[in-house]
Parts: sequence; structure tokens; C-alpha cells
Amino acid sequence: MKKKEFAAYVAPSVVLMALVILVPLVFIVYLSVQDVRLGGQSAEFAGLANYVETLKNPRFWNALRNTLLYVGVSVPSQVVLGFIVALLLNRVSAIKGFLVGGSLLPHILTPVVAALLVSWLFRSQLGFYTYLLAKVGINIQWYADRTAAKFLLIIYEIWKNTPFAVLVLYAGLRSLPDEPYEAAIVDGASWIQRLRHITIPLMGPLFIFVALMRTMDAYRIFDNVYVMTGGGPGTATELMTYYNYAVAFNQLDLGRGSAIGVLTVVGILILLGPFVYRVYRRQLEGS
Amino acid sequence: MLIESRKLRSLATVGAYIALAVWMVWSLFPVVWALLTSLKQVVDAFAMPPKWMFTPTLRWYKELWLERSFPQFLMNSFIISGGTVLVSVPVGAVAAYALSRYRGRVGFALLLTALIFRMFPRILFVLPFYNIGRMTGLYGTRILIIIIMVAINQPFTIWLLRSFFLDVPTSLEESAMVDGCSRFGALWRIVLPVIRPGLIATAIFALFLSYNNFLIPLVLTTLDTQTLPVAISQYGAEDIRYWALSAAGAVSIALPIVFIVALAQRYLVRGLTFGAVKG
Repeated sequence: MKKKEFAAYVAPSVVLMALVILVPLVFIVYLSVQDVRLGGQSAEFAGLANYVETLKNPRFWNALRNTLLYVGVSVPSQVVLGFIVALLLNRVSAIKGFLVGGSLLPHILTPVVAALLVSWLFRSQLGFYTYLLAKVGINIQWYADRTAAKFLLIIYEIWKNTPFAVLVLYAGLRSLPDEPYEAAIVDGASWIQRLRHITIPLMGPLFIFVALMRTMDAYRIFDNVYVMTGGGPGTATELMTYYNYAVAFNQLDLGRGSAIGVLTVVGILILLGPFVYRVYRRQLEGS
Repeated sequence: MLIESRKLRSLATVGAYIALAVWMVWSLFPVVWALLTSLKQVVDAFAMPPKWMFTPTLRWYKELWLERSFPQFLMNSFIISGGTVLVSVPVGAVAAYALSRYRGRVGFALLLTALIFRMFPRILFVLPFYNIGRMTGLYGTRILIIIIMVAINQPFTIWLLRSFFLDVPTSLEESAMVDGCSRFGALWRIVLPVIRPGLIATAIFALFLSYNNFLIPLVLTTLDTQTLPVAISQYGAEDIRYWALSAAGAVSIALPIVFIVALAQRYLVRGLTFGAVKG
């Protein structure tokens, strides 16, 4: 394909992305150095004041810590649990379609709806899971206790998005080559040995892929915070995007909201940039 | 020895089924619970221990669909997600095709940029578009939501479709072009039919993205353009009198998704994996 032809084919997509992604990106950087209210008419140049204010604010660091805890607990759990379920699926043969489809459902469900479903089950007294836990002597106030509320969001994340890990890893298991296993069985290797020395190393890139995709989405999660806890109790469950939203749309401070947005992007690029490059390098170079 | 290990194997299989049963209950119970709640009267809905036997009622669905504006919200969701699919698949397909056939630095840069865009938090689009929308008069319109959805979905669409195009040997369209077909004609008549499963998967994911998104319509729609997720988020989750009603709403929103998953499951695996695993 010639360069001119290539340009014509990608033009609609590129123009669209430039207008809707790149222009707002420039605009938000501009807004972040302005003293501007949401919906306000006038803006005044503020230099780096919004950034300084943000970095000095303990609520920003609280949101960052909460986000890192959310990502740090849920993503590894999803990879491990997802791998276990994928191994189980790979072991059985009957009603496979139902098992795979059923596993998929929470992941594909509208996040707001999924958050509502989980939130009902954990309500104090009237929630069914709260009730079951109380029956076995575990009394947790999921919405009033600061630590419990953080983990309530993490439970949602694990329930909703572990299926992604299951699906990717199961598809990976099914496409593994047979030869190394045949050789290992001849050598008398046990199941555990085969798992450790063949399966896990071969699946390595997929573990990284799953962790990468989940980190990307968990880092910017918003819907469950909004629906389930509203960031509370206090600011215990305020994650980055929710905090950003609150500053811009509750405190109506568009300038500072924009600064937080810019910092969030810088954060994700630092966190994931090197990984993205590593994971996709082969595909990119293969092109 | 052989019998021993066979016994062990079937034991392991039984164990796997039991563990998977637990997994399925954990995965599906919240959905089942919402369905039951939506069919209960108020007193039964928050009776604890729960009532498993009750006389089901459809009053909440009636209230939702006949007395409240749910049909209007469904229409908004339908227009926005349908519009997203109709624009993003064709636009993404020509770009993805070109990216699978052109080997130059610009292509590489474009793919990498798309990948970086994929990581951006959505709040990044919401803040500027609130202002841009107010300035241009597009604030609160469905068309603005569609444009944003199409754009943020482009990176995914391009990468996924490109992975399907890469599987099609170039000789296929080259022979058509030797026979006098233009490149676009070859793409349209020869290549696209071959990657039909890819187009279906891409369309389904564009649909889900648009139908499920919350933050963007939350900020950028008004009451008459609200989508289903925004509408249900406003139905007081705290007030238990509305529990059953919200549950009916939740089930209503989930139903089309359950239906599509049941129908098109086989198209979804590769899409979920961003084209990285061939399902």
C-alpha cells in the first residue's frame, strides 16, 4: 500500500481522534493553568497555582493512595483467581458453553447496574450477604467502616472483572502446544511440575496482558464509587476519578479539576508506559 | 497403577465441577437476586431471612415502563449506542485495513498513539467537553455523546479489526486487483466478507461500550437525553421503598446484554482480549 492511499484510508479515524481526544487534551492543559469556575464565563491565568494547590492537598494524596490500594489488591487477585478458574474450565468438558457464558456475564454487565446489585447484597441488616455473614458470626458494617468500605469496592471489582482474566487465560490454555506436555509426561513429571515448569512460563505474556488491561481500567474506575459509596464514609473510598469529578462538579473548580486530570494522565503513563511498550512491541514491530 | 491414576483423574474432574459450581453461584447470584427482588412486593423485598417463596408481581416493571420515563431513556440509549456502532465500525474498518497493509513509520506511530489514548481516564474528555458543549450548543445532545463514544472507541476498534485483517493473506485482494478491481472494491467485496466475525465482534463491543458508559452521559446529557445507566443511578439506592423498583430497572437494563451474550458468545472472546488471543 502506498503512503497516499494509506493516508486517505486512515484520515476519517485520525481526524476524529484528533478532534475528540487531542484537542480536549490541549484544552484541559490550558484550563489547568487558569483560574476558572465550572460554567463560568471568565478565566484568569493562574500559572501553576492549580497544580501547587492540588499537590499540597491531602485529599489528593488520599485519593491516590486509595486508588493504588484498589488496583494493588484487585489486579493480582483477579490474575490468580482467574488462572485457577481457567485451569478448572480446561479440566471439564460438559456444559462448557454455559460455564463460559455464565462466567462472562458479570464482566459484560453495565457497571452501574453491577454496582447496584453488589451494593444491595452488602447493605447493613437488609443485605443478603451481610445477613449470611452475620449468621456465621461475622458482623461488618460495609458502609460505615472505613476499611470495610474500601474492600467493598474491591469485592465489586473482583466479582465484576475476574471473568476477563478467566476468559483470556482460558483461551490461552487452549492454544498451548501439546509437545512439551507429552515430553514431560514421558519423563514422569507430576501435574504440579508441569504447571510450574511449562504452563506458567508459557502463559507469562498473557498474565502481563491481563494485569495491564485490568490496571488501566481499575485506575480510572468511577461508576462503582459513585453508585456504592459516594466516596464515603468521609473520603475513605474516594478514588482518583471520583475525586477529580467532585472537585470539578461539586466544588465547581474547573481549573483545579483539570490540573488533577492532567496529573492522572501523567500518573498512568508513568505506571504503565513501559509495560505497554513491552507487551505490544512484538505486534508493533511485526507490522 | 493405571487404575489408580484413572480413579485419581475422575476424582479431580469431580472436584473441578464442584469448584466451578461455587464459582458460578458467586458469579451469577447477584443477578438472580436482583431478578427475584424485582418480582417481589415491598414487604417481601427486604424481608430477612429472605422469602424464597412468594407471589410474584410485575407491578414494578409496569410502573417503570408505563408510568415513568424508562421508554424515553431506552430510546436515548438505543440511539446513542446504535449511532456509535454505525459510525465507529466503518471508520475503524478502513483505518484498520490500511494499518494492516501499510508498513511505514507513520503506521507504527499511529498504532502506538491509539494505544496510549486507550489508557486515558474518561474524565479527561468530560471536563473540556462540558465547556466545549456549552460554547457550541452541543451540550445535552445525543450527537455529542455519539461523537465522543466513537472517538474513544477508535483505538480498540482499530486494534481489534487490524488483528483480523492481518489474518487475511494479501494475495486475496491482490488477485482481485489484477482482475481490474480497485483497492476499495477489493476491500469491500473480497476482504470484508472474510472478516465478518471480526466485524460482528467489533460492533458488539462498540455497542456495549456505548450502552454501558456512565460518566460521559452523566455529565453531558440533560433530563430528556439521559441514558439508562444515568437514569437508574438517580433512583435513590438508599430508600428501601424503591429497592424493588430499582431492581426491576437493573434487570431491564441487563436483559439486552444477557441476550446478546447468549446469542453471540463465540464472537466475544477475541474481542475481550483486544485481539491478543484468538478465541
